[in-house]
Order: sequence, then structure tokens, then C-alpha cells
Amino acid sequence: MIELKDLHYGYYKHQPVLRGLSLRLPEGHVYGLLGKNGVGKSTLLKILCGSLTGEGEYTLDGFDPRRQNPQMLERLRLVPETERILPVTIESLAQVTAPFYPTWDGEIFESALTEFQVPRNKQLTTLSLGQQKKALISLSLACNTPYLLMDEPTNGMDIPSKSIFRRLVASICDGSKTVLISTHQVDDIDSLIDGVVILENEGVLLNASLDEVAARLAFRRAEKDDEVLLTESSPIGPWSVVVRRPDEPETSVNMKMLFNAVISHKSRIRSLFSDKA
Amino acid sequence: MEFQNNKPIFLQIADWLCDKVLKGEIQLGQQLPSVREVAVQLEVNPNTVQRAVERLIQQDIVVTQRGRGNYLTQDAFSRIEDFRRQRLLDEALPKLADEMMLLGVKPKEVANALQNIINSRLSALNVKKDASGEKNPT
Repeated sequence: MIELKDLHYGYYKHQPVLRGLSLRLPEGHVYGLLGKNGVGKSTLLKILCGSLTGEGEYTLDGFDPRRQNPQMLERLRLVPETERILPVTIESLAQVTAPFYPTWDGEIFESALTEFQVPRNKQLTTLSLGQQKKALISLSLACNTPYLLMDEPTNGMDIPSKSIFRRLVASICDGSKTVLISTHQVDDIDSLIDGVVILENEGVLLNASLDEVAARLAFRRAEKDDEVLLTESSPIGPWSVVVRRPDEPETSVNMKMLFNAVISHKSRIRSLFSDKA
Repeated sequence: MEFQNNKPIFLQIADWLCDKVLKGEIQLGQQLPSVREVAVQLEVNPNTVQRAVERLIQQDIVVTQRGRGNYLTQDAFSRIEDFRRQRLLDEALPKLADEMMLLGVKPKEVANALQNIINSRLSALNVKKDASGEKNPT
């Protein structure tokens, strides 16, 4: 479980990025972390793994990331959006990474590299950006940690690779794993996530499972007497986010429209979701 | 699988599994593909697949045998058939009727067109079966 209580962080004094973030993320789910540019998504991921020090109370399975307890560090892995690429092969990087993770699974590593078709014995610096990303994601998937945090993982990936990425993440998920994916490319992961967190500098606008969203909001053509939160044009005519009527069947959740509806109707969303714990 | 955008994904997965039963790809006494297998194949969250399976359990189409996985119930096939027929009458046909009224199309025209579509599907199916050396069921 990830728990944050009134988390604050700023890179500079008087320029806070996170202003009082409170959030509870139970384990066993794949969460999509969404928010406009600059709301602190990447910052939050770095704070969770302890590479940035926030103010407030926050824990991961009861461990305070600021203490950099080895027992905590071996329970989580972060795939940053960009990282310094060393002139080594992915295999030699794996050799020095694996010993830090008791959960390391060489089979996941092999199958991920094979599926992604990443060359194993070429120096990472000679690979394309997309190939580097796939190599590093394979490495992090193989760490097989209870917590996997990924910052814009599908950036720079071609279309087939995105599909492979979803398959790989689906294959490592079980009831105990928690995956937190920060992204702007919601279409890349919307079938993969079952929880969504929408952030703003002032705090969390929405933290709900997709089931909870589907129970409260419907994504369809608006009808008379609907409470419409958002309407967008689509190839099959205007499509809306409406407050679901109690007796109507649930619809699938359109993540992009959900995002736009949430950031344009903050207080209404808050009250619609206030009954959930 | 391409998901439609008007129906919850878990229901679409339940339909996908039922389609497999109707097509004979999953048979009585045979274990259902595991939640993980389906999740990987469809690139979706395993929790969503689990919810689809739970729906099928609720509908007495699937039963969980402790420690052995999920199986079809004895009358799974007829349940799915009944359920789908009812849905055709309740959902698909009213939509078709609305469209027909809008365009002034007579039921007879539609009936003929449907027969033609079914005939061409059947002959395409038979060509495929002949080519693969299977016996024609009809």
C-alpha cells in the first residue's frame, strides 16, 4: 500500500510543485497517473522511491522512502522517463542490477528482451531511443518487485512495441503487484489500468477504480435531462460524459474524456465520488 | 481484439469467451483459458478478466472447481444461446427497426437481404472447410 498524507514538495523555495497531496493506493492494481504538464507526476514518482525528499507523511508498505531502507528499496523499481545511458550492454547491466532484487526473475528478462527484439550484446549507447527504453523496461520488469513505477513508459515506442508492452505488464500482474504508470498517452494503457489517479498541484482530483467511474459516469450520446459534464465531437456524432442514471447499463470508460471532464468539473466530480472511501 | 467504446470492457471479454463456447473452441469438460492467459492475449488488466469470469459464474455459465480452475457448467451452451437470442431481440433488433423506420425500409426487404448475407457467409464457410479437408456439417 502506498499512503501519502499532506505531501508537499518544491524544487525551489516559494515555487511548490506538490501542495498537500493525500492518496492511498492499495496493492494489486495497475494505476494510471494522469495530470497536465507540471503538476508533479514525475516528482511524485521520484519522491516515492526516495530520490527526492518531500515534506509530510508518506509510506510504501509502511516504509518511509526518505530513510532509504534496503528492505524498501528492494520492493520497488522506477523506470524514469529519461535516464543516463551507460556504454554497457543490457546483459551486463542486468548482472549488476539483479543482486539488489531478491525477486529478480531471469525468465521475465529473457522473454521481455525476446519479445521486444532488443539486441542483448550491443552497447546501450549504440541503440535507438526506443530500443534503449525497451531494454530498460525489460530490466525493470525482470526485477519483479511488488511495486513498479513507470514514467511515460511508452514514449518513443513504435505501435507493435506498445502492444508488447501491454502484454508484458499484463503477464506480470497478480493480486500482489502494484504498477503505477504516469502518462499522457492514455490510449496506450487504458485497457491495462484498473485504477486512475488524476493530479493537480493542489492535490488529487480523482482517485478511483474504473469500476467506480463506470458506476457514476456514462460515456455515450447525451439525452434530454442528462447532466452533461463534457461533450466532444467524434466520428459517430457528439459523444458525452454524463452523470449515469441509476437504472442505465454501465458503459466503458473513455480515459481521455474522463480526464477532460475531471479537470473542467472539479467540484462536481469531488461530490460525485465523495461517497467512496 | 478491438474493444467497442460503448460497453464495459469486462462485458466485452465475457462475450468474447461466450463466442468461443458457441464456436466450439471451448468445450464442456475442458478448462477455460486462465485469467492471466486471457489478460495477456487481450492486453488487458487481469482484474478486468477476473470480473468477466465472475459475471459468467453469476450467470451459471462457468463454475470454479477449487484448485482446478474454471469450467463450463453442464448447460452453459444453452444458457449462452438463450441469453444471446434474448439480447438480439431486445437490443439489436430495436436499433435495426429504428433505422428501418427512418429510411422507410420494409421488413421484407431486410429479410431478403439477411437471407443473402447468411447464404454468402455459409458458402464462404464451406469453401474454407472443404479446403481444410473437413466434412461439411450440413
